[in-house]
Amino acid sequence: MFASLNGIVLLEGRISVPRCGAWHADLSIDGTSVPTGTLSLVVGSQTFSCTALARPATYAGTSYLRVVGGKGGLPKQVPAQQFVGTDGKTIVSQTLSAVGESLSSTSSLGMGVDSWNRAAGQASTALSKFANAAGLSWRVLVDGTVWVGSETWPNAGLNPSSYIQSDNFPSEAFIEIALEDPTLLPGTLFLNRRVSMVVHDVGSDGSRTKVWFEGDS
Amino acid sequence: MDSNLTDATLDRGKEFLRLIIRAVLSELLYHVQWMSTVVVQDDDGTLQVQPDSKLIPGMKGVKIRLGLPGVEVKVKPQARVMVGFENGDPQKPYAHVWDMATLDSIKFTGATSLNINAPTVELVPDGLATARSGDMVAVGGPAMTPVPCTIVPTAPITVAGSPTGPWTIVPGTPIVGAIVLQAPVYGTVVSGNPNVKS
Repeated sequence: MFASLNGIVLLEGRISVPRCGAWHADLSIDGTSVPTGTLSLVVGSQTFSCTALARPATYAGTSYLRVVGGKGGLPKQVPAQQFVGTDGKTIVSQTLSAVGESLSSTSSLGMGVDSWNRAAGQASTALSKFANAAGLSWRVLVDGTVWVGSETWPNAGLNPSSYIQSDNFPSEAFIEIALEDPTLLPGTLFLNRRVSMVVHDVGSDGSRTKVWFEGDS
Repeated sequence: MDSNLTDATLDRGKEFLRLIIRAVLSELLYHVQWMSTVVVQDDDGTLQVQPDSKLIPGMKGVKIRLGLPGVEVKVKPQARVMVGFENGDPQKPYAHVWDMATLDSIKFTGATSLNINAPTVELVPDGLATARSGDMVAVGGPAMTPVPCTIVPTAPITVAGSPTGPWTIVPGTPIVGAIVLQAPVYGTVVSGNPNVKS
C-alpha cells in the first residue's frame, strides 16, 4: 500500500491514536528533504493532518521524524483567564485558538458555564481540566482539529473481509489485526468492544493494527 | 555513568522529565492558596480579586469563607486575602485568611443569641461606662443648670413672709419659675431593651 507524507514516499510509520489526547506518528520517509508546516500523512484512504514536532534526523538517505496531529500547539502555554457567564464552546475554542489549534465542528459543547477559572499552563492541560470537570472526552481527529464531547461509541463499521485477526491477549484487553486501510479509530465499537487506543504500523511488509479496548469492555 | 551520554542527551532527558512533571503539577495549581488583593466587594458580598501570581486569573464572584457561621463582613479595596478553590474545582474560588484587611463593617446573625463573655467589653476605644437596668443614676446638684418649671397647686397655698402680710395662692393658679436641686437626687434605671444584656 502506498503511503506518503506531503507526497514523499513513506518507508515506515507508526501512528498512535489514543481516545483522549493528541495522536502522533513516528515516520521514516525517503530522502533528506523534509517538508515543514502543516503536513498531510496519507495512508490508505486516510489523510492525517499533522505537524512535525522536532528537527528530523537523517541517515543514509532516509529521514526520521515525529509528527503530532493538528498544528502542534497543544504543548504551548495559555495565560490564566476567567470566563464568566459563557458556554463550553467559547472556553474551549478560545483556549485552542490561543495556541493555533481549531475546534472540530462535530464537538458537543453547548453547556452554559457560570464561571470557569483557567490557570496558566499548557493548553492540553487546560483542555483536560475543563473536559474532566464537564465529564467530556477530547482528542485530536484525523483532520487535525480537536474534538471535545461525550462518547457515543458508534460502530467502527469495518468490513469483516478487510482485516484478519492475528493476535489476542484477553488479559490485556488487546488484539492485533492485519488491516491495510487504517480506518479503525478509538471511540468506536469494534467486535462489540469499545476501542481505547489503536496503533497502526505501516511498512513495506504490509500494515498491522494493534487495538486496545476499554478496561470494562 | 555511561561516558557515551552527552550533555545534550541528559538535557533532553531532563527536559522530557520536566514536561511530565509540569503537566502533573499543573493539576495542583487549584489546590494551592493564592495571596490576592481585593479589587472591590460587590453588592452580593462576593469579591473581585487579583492574585499576585499570573498563574491564576483575576476573578470575580469569589465567595468569602470566614470560618464563622452567621458572620458577614464588608471590606475595603486593597485588602489582602488568600484565595483557594473548593475541592480543587476551578469553578469554586473562595477567599479566606485575611492579611491587612480594612474592615468596613461586620454583622453577626444568630438564631438564638449572641454571647460575649469577658470582664471588659469595649465597644469604642476609651468609651464611657454603659448604664443597665438596675444601675443607679444621680440627677441634680449645686452645679446643675436651673430647670424651668411650672407648678399648678391643687389646694390653696398660703405664702408667708410677705411685707404686706400672708397671702393665698388659689388652686389652679400656675406658678412659673426655675428649680435648682442643691443636692443630687438618686434613682435607678428601671427599664431597658430585654434583648440586650450586659
